Amino acid sequence: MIENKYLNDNSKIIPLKELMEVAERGLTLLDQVEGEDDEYTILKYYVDALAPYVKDCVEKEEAGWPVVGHHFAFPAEILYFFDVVPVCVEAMSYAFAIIAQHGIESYIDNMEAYGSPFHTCSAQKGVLGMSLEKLFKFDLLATPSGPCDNTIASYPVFQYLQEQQKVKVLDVPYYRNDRSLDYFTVEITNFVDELADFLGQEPNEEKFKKAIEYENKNITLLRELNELKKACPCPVGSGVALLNATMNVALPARQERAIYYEKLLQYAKKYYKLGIKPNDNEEKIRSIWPNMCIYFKPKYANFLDRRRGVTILFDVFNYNFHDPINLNKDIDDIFKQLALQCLNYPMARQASGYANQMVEDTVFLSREYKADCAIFTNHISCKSLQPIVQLLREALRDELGIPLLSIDVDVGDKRVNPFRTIKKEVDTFLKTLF
Amino acid sequence: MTFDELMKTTETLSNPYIDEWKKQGKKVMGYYCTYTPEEILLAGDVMGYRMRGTEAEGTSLADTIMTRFNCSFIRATLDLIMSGKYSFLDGLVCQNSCDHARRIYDIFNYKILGQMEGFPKDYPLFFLSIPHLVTERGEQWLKDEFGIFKTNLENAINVKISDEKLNNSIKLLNENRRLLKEIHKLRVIEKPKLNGADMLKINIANAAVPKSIVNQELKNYFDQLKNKEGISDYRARILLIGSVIDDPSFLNIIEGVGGLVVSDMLCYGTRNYWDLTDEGTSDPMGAIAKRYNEKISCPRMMNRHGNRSKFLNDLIKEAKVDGVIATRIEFCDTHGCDNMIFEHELEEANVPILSLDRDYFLGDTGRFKTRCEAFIEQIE
Repeated sequence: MIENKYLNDNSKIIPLKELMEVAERGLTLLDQVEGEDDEYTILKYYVDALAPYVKDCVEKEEAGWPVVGHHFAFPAEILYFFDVVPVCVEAMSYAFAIIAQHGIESYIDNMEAYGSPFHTCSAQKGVLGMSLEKLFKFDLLATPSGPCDNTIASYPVFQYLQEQQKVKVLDVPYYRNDRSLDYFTVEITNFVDELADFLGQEPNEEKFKKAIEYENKNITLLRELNELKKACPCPVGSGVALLNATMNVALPARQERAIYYEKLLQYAKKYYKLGIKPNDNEEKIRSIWPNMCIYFKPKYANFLDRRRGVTILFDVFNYNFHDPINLNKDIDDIFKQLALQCLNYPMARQASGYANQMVEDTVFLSREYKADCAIFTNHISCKSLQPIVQLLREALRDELGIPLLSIDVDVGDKRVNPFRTIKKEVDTFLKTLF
Repeated sequence: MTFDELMKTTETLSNPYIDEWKKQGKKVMGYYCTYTPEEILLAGDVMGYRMRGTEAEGTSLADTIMTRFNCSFIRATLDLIMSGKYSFLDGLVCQNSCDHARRIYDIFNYKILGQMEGFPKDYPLFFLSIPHLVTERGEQWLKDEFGIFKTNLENAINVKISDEKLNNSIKLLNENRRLLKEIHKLRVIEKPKLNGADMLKINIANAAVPKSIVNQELKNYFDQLKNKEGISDYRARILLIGSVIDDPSFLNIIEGVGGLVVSDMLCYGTRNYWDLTDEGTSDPMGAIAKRYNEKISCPRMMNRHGNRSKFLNDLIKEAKVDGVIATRIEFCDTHGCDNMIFEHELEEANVPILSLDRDYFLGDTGRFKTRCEAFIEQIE
């Protein structure tokens, strides 16, 4: 649980204050680590990027800026039209699962005791549990109406828990075609006007465009990093997939993320030139994780590198299929490009619409990056992806001759499937490949 | 047709009325969700058939594709499809009703069409994208979406659907909905004329028999029902809410221990027939879109919990309910969270509520019976 010293604090973002302290303590510890263990190096880059973002949020909240909780698939760029503190709900749940010693299980328990079914997503349930205890007191929550039932089911609950937590929704059409794009572009445009009314602020186009510039840089850097990953062995360790995933959803349109990627890129280039994997780990198996990494056990990724010679090339949040936005266009066109980008955000792209997108994207990545296998974390709440697993298995087998392992798990709650069982399942699977 | 014959149609998937309909060269198309514009199907002389899990004995075939975390109702229907029990259908309309239901469309494309007997590659398979918000823009999207569906249907069955046909089908369906509502009114009185299990059977049969036939039967039944002696030997008046129920034996459990289900907010219930479509307009497609946009929603509509809450409270008052049973099929996230909010709201309003999670296949009837009995003892 979050430390008692915060419990009489009037802050609307108490968990971020704790996260700030954790990040500062983490940096102090990491500075003291001697030698070049790459796992610590990458962790330092990560915390170095997260800490200023969290500090910025805390300072602005203290200065009275409204706090807007947003969904990971929400176009956070439009929040930068305004003076708000943007907090990604799902990123916060999983940041605590990864970083905090206490994890998010106690908040999940609180929500389940309140009545939330056990199979709803821990990504929202963690922060819902914090909201139940008034640790988060959002002024507004902004979400699309997808990519899944859990988004649809969970976000209205925020408003029920605290009446001032208004929820505003962007309706996302099912298809990925011009008609959908036009509809969704107007949704986004209208949303900006609604936000302006709600917040009582005039939209600042310059700040919005600056946010897009940062995100464009993030996309470009990530692409460059992903190109390097085509090398065998992969010049980045598996832990990077997990850290990148949370970084991508936690810090959309932020400069801190670009700084993280720049450092990561330099690090990757070093190993690319050397033609080795970091820490001189052996690469026996290259794996794609079409869904998510296991956030409650972040060290497992490092374990796979060191002890099993397995590289996690990607999870769903590590690869952008969307392009940077061309800012040399009028504002209407920029909104349209943003809408197109949003429809192609990681996981939104694969889970919102027809199954073929997930199948095609996974086959593409597996082929391009010479994956030897796929490991699918069958996250208990991903009901829309679960029926795709078998289709994916058959596509990978038929098109590339590679196998897929599906593991039942809750990526944020260690109790749903014990880690020991997961490790055994993966090891048994890997034995068939060695 | 007699009323008993109508009720018998709930025991099997197909029935003699479907056989007769098809003998006339007409089509029958399945659909999962009450957001399917039946008016359009009917205007094309297509009988809409609401998908059910009746006759399902398990999900072993469906489980080769779907997982244990997917809705057992959807898996039951998929199992029936894969075992050929739905071979009488001439097409299927799918939607983004929920994460489980929408994958039926993908499974058809990947595993069924052109691969299983009775389902050729050009089998009429449709998908409708229904907005998740009730808004003016959403209504326009719906109108356009229904327009595309109409065109695709016309091409699939080689029939032209005119505005006149649409207006006629609107009238027929409205008549159907009015009749169901009239029968509903005979449930909510002090001595209800029929129990919940029978009302559910009526709703199930209603979705499995051509409307022109079922309307006549409903009229006859209503006339008889008015004069029937009402039910007085019950212990508590219950309102049932939640996800799909297509099996009257679940209500038999509640009613077997003294509860009488006098009202409901179910999709095989009031959510299906409560709202009418504007009749005789010059824009029947617009009228249809308006009806489906504004009708009593299920939790897939993110901005309508307030409306559902108000509707629920109105139903509670109307039927002078002693308690509410909120049920859902396990792994339903949307009803799970919606029921959770209802639970808290009703507790605040001092309305007793019992939450029951169940698998589609009612294996643990003993547990349900005990819980229902305890609840009824508490509230009688």
